[in-house]
Formats: sequence, structure tokens, C-alpha cells
Amino acid sequence: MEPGKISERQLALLITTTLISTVVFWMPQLGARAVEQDVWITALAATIWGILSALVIVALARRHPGLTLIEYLPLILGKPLGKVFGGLYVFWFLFVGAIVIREFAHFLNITIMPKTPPAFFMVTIMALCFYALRGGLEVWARVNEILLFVVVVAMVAVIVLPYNHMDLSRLLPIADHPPGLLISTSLLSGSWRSEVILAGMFIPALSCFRHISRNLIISVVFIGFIVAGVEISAVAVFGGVPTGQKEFPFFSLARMISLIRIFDRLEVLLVVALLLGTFFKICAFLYCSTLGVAQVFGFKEFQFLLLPLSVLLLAMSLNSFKGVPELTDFLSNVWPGYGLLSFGLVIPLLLYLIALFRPVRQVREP
Amino acid sequence: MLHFLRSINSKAKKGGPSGPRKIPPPRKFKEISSNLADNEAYLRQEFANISDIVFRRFYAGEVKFLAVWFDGLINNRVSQDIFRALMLDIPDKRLLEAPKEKRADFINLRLMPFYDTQKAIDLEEIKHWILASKMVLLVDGCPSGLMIDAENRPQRPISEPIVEPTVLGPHDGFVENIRVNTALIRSRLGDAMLKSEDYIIGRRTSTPVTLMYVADIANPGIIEEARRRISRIDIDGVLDSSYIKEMIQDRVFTVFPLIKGTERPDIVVADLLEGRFALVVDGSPQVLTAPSIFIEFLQATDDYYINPMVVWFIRSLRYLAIFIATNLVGLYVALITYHQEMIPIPLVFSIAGTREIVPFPVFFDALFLLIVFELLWESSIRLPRVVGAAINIVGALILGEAAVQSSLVSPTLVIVIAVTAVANFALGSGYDLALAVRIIRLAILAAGGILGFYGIALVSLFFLLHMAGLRSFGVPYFEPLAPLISKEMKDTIYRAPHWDFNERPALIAGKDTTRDNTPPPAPPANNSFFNARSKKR
Repeated sequence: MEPGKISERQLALLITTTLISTVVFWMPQLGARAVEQDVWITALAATIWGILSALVIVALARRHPGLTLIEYLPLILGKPLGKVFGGLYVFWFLFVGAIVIREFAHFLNITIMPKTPPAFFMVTIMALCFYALRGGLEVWARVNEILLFVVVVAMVAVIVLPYNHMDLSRLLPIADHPPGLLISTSLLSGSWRSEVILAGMFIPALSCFRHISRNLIISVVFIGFIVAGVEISAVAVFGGVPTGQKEFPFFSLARMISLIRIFDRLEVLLVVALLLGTFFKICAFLYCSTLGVAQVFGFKEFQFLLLPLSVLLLAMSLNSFKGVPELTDFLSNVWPGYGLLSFGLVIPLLLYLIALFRPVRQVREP
Repeated sequence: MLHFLRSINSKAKKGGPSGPRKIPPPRKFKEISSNLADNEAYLRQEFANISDIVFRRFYAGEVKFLAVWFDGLINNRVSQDIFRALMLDIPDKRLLEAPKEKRADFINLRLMPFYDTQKAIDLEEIKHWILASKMVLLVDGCPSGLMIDAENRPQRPISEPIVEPTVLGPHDGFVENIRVNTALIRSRLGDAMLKSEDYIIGRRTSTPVTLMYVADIANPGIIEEARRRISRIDIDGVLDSSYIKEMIQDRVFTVFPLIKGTERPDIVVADLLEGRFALVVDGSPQVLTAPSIFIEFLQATDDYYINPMVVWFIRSLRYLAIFIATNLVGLYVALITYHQEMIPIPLVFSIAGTREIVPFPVFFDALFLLIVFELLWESSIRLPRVVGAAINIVGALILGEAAVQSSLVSPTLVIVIAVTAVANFALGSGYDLALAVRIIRLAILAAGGILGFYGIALVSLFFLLHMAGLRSFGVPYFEPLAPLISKEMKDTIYRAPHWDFNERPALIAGKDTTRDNTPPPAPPANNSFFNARSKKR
């Protein structure tokens, strides 16, 4: 159904952008509220969940070559149930996409443009996403390839540059929380990481299929290091408890940077990173939901769904949360169950187990 | 030789031969009559009401001749030679003894000391030759005529390229004559695989266009596509290669140049060697080469002639220049309007000091100065030489000095615009790109003025996405960057030394992809050859 082809590296980089671009802004404070200075351990532990998700989705894709997640759901669960789950997945894509847009607008409001109504950011970024997706998967995957570099450099700079404010003794004592609490917090961190199952929608568009599980694992691990880096840096600069009290510790971290009097306002770097990253994240979710809707209903094309689904996504993001506290509450309490523990890892894992008992079917028109 | 008789819409053959193809016969056909008077009458009727045509009747011995040409398009000295050969030095007997129908052949083979002649049996063809600024000779009693290439169209001598001057490297540039231009290319690339195909475009101008490519490098699919796009053209006149450019490019609605035009033969040859094709259009000193990619426009010819250890710096300057030319004004406006807190403290005071007395918002100031700059640019192109000094004074004194002194604009802004203007012309060889940058700059200024950094990021992202979606003859426009092809990064921000350019660009070159097998220069470690000499001594 997707006419374009992307390379394995492009997919891995796309997934990296998708996974990295919101978690670094939310996880430090949400995690620090639960486990204070040990928050970085949860980020590393969450890598395990992410790797599991990546392995499961690649294993499923290997079993059903040339099919997307939505396409092989009916093959595994039978047609009616498969379609129902397909619909649920599409809704998941849409809903998570809506959350991302919401977070994006909220972040911009707080950081650089406090007076602009959030709806304005949502509409403009959505319009650009629509334009990008209309140009085809190949095009925005390519642009992502070069811009991810900017995103990562900005993030690493913000992690490293406040070195003169850091006091690593604030990280002590290490692992001073019950393992249960650490694991449950890592589920939260892992929920973002489990967005790696989006790869299930892109894998059929790959031009070759060799190292994809390796690539996805590398990207999940890499994200683990970046998130842990942000958290270590934030805790070292602010301390464990204050990190949890800040609205966006990563952003506060950027404000701490001051080098030779000139580079003392580097938070704009972070805003650029956020904007680019979130843009591609929204693109990815919009793409998946468009493709998903088309495949659930068995359409031959999906491009025509782009406009209605963009509008729907926009409407959902405008209406799904009343305010920031509700969003934060959702992220810290509901999101692990909605992400990792259902759609992100558990459902795909169950699907794979069921698929093991199904005969391998050779389907796919060339 | 140019075959002027190709019908305009001839279909390109699929997988056709690489050489110039056969000329289809002209649609109308009128045989040359044996009676010279009939032919003259026909031609006079066809060229009625044309004052600059010359019909010259003369006798060579007892044989009647008619020469026809357009005045001014024929080399006078050469035409005198023709008349001398026929009227004075003619061996009458043999011409008279030759059968009447063979007279044209006889003259062609024995009496015409010109390298380019051609026999024709069709008056329509004769007419075309005359229109194509050749001389035509008709003989009484012979049903065929003779074209003699004594063409001497008014033309400019070969000179230094005007748009793309360089410090190092060759200094010759293309002119308006297609033959001179193809000769400049051919003389640099003496390879039988450099093919050229002629097309006649323009129902009325009948402009010759030559498609050149190296057959065993270029991608045959791209060449076939080029043929297809060229033969689609149906226009009354082609006055410059940019006409062709607009009609064969992949996407219409884009500010970016998708096909490169250049005045420099060395660039064209380099492009041909990378597997591109060139389109030489008569009457235009700009030769088109395609497929083109974006970074080509940020490269200059000098880059390949100067030390590669320096090129990376000059190229980085250019990348910086395009960033400044597009973004600086917008960033400045956004900074002053929305993000004052991001300006370093010492700078805030100096900028605020200069802005204190300026009555307008910085956005309007910037727009005003930018438009003034664009006006200056535009007027300095159209300027008659004699009034140049006046505009210079107005530009420098009135706009620079007076605008600041009257506190219409702040001095900082003047600097910003000046840097932008300088950067606009430091982009390498691409004047086309400099034009695109003007539009992008306006868009970014508007976005920065309305939305601050957010708007600038949105618009930049938009242009990036737009650029990544463009293609030039199927080749992704943003090629070695998006899609990212690490193998081809040898000619982006740094240029590899020539011995290291092993591969031609993979997406452009179709076949023979090895460019260079030279091993890296490796003098023997202990300089033994040098020591050997000194020992002898």
C-alpha cells in the first residue's frame, strides 16, 4: 500500500526520533517524583522493556512478511477479533498522537511563547505534518535522517554543558528505593520506549530486511542512555527531590548553561530539538493511523484519509485534556497501563504467542 | 552540421541509437525545377516582402547560376571566394561537358573549396537552408541545389564568463553561438562516446538545440527521459535556454533551480563526466546540465582547482552564507520582537540603545530595508552605465547614512541587512540559487515577525521538506544529505583530493562508475631517488 521504500537505517532513525522526542521532557520529573535520585536507573531498566517490544514486533513482522501490524492482526486472531484489535490500535495511534501534539503546544507555551493560545501551535504543526505526509513517507524519512543529528547534538549539549553546576554526590545513595518501586517506575519510562511497536507499520516499506532488530535495539538502547543522561544531569544539578518539583527539568537544565558570557541562553537549542523531534513524532503517528484506518477498512489507498485524520487528530488533541494537570496525571498514572502494559508490549507479546500456534501462511500479493 | 529539417515533434525512438538520428523528410515537398527561372520565381514568392535577402544571378561560362542568402549572415570574403571560383577560375569546358543534371554535384565535388556543403533536391529544404543563414546555389538545368556553409552570424567573441567569474581555472565562457559552444565542450572532451543529438525547437525561431552526453557513463533511462521531455516541447520561439529549462523540469512550483545553467565549459565537461547530460541552446550562453542536485549550487568551479585542504573552509563559509542570507534577518526580528531574553546581556544594551529612537516596530524596519536592498539589486542590473554613479551615491549615502541619522532604522539593522546582502552573493556558482534565497528570506522574515523562532523553525522545516521531495530527472534533489549517502559525501562540505574521487555519483551515473584509479601520491619514504642523484654528484 505504501509506494515508497525506506532503508533500515532510515527506519531506525525515524523510530529514534519518535521515541526520544517527548520522553526526555516528561520522564525526569515524573520519575523523580517517584524515585528521586534513582530516576536514571529506571531509564536504563526501561531499556529492557523497549528491547522486548522491539524483538516482539520484529518477530511478528518476520512471521508475516510484507504485512503491517494491522494487516496481520486478523490473520492471528481471526477476522472479527483482528479487526476489533486493529481498530483499537488505530485509536491508540491517534490518541497517543493527540497527546504528543498536546504536550508540544504545552511545552512551547511554557518555554518561549506564553501568550500564544496552544491551539495555534497545534494547528500550525499539524498543517506542516499534513504537508510532509502528502509528500510521501520517503521524503520525511529522509529529512528526519539529517535533522535527528541536530536533535541529538542539541540534547547532548544540554546534558553536558551545565557541567560547572553539577555535583555528582547528589546522585547518592544509589538504588535507595525498593526494587518494586524502581520496576514500576521503569514501566512508566518503558511506556515511551514501547512506542517502538510503530515499526510494525513501517517494516513492509523497508527496502531490505536484514539488521532491523539489531538497528531497533541499538536505537532503544541509545535512547536509554540519552534519557538516563538527562536524568543524571538534572539530578546532579538540582538534586533528586527538586528535579521532581520542576515543571521541565530538562529545560531548566538548559537555562543553567552559561559559558564565556555569550552562550548563556541555550534553551533555544532545546526548543529547536523539541520542535523537530515532535514534528517527526506526530508525522509517524499520523502516518500509522492513516495507514491503519485504510487497512482496517480494506481500502486500496490511504492518501485520501490524510486530511480527515489530520483534522480528527487535531480535534482529539484539543479536546482530550482539560489542562496540564490532567495531562500530567494521565502520563504518570494511566500511560504505563495504556502503553507498555497493553498496546506496547503485552498485546504484541500475546499476539506472538498465538501466532506461534498458527500455521505460517504464505500470503501477500507481490 | 545542423539538420534543420527535423520535424519539430519527431518522436524519440525507444532505446534508439546513440548517434544523431536520421532526418525525416520535410512535410511539404517541392522538387527543384530544371528551369532556374521557375525556382527563382518560387523563392521570390516565398520570400516576398523581405528586404534583406539577396538574389544574385550570374554566369559561369555559359551556365546560369543563382545564389540566395540573407544579407549580413554570410561571410563576405567567403562568398567572394565562391564567386571567384565560379566566375573567374572556372574550367568552363568541364562544367559544360558534365551532364546538366550533374552540374550541382560537379560543382560540389570539384569547384567548391568549402568544407561544409550539401546537395538538396527540394525547394523547401533550400528555403530552410536560406533561413538557417546559409548560402544556397542553384544551377540552371540541374534539378538539385547546393547549400554552402559560409555562415557568419554576428556574434560576440569568447570572453570571461560574466555571471561566474573565477580566480583560478580556465577563463573562457560560452557565447551565443551553438557551434562555438559545442566546440568548447568537444575540444575539452575528446571522446567518441561524447554523443550529441540535434533538435530544432521553436515553430518560428527554429532554434537549434543540442543534447550532449557521454554514452557509456550516463544513465540511459535519464537520457531517454530527456529526449522525451525535449520532444514534447511545442512553442513558437526559444530565446534562451531558460525557456527549455522551464519546460523540461520535474516540478513547476518551486523556487529552487532544478536544472543548472552555466556559462563555463569546464563545469559542463565535469558534469558530463559525472553522467549528466548537457543541453546547448543556440542564442544562449547558458548551457543547461541535469540532473542537478542542491549542493551543486553551493559549489564553485574554483573548488576543484584550489587546494582541497582549503576547500572545506571555503565551502563551510558558503554553507554559513546560505544560512545567513536566508535566516539572519528573520532571526534578528524574532530576537528583538519576541525573545529579548535570549540576547546576551551586553548585547541587549547596545541594541536597545540603537533601537530606542526608532519609531517603527523592528519588523517593518527590516522589511523596509530589505525591500530597499532588493530595489538596489534590481536597479543595479537594469542600470544604464552612465547613471551608475548616481545610484551608488543614493544607495550608500542616502539610504545608509541618512536613514540611520534620521532614526528611521537602527544601525544594527543596517549591519544585519548588509551582512545578508553580502552573504547572498557568496553562495558559489548559483545565481539561480541567489534568486531562490530572496524568496526564502522574505518567507522567513514574515514567519519570524509573526511567530518568532517557532515560525522560523516551521518555515525552515517546510522548505527542507519541500526540498527533500524535489527531484531533478528522477534524482533526489537533496541527494547526498537526504537520502543520506555517506559514500557520496566526498564532494559536500569538503572536497576530496582528485586522486580520491574514485566513484562517480551513484544516483546520476548509469554505467561506468569508476572515475579514478589513481593511487594516492606516495613518494618513496627515504626519498631514495633524490639521494641517488646526489650520490652521483
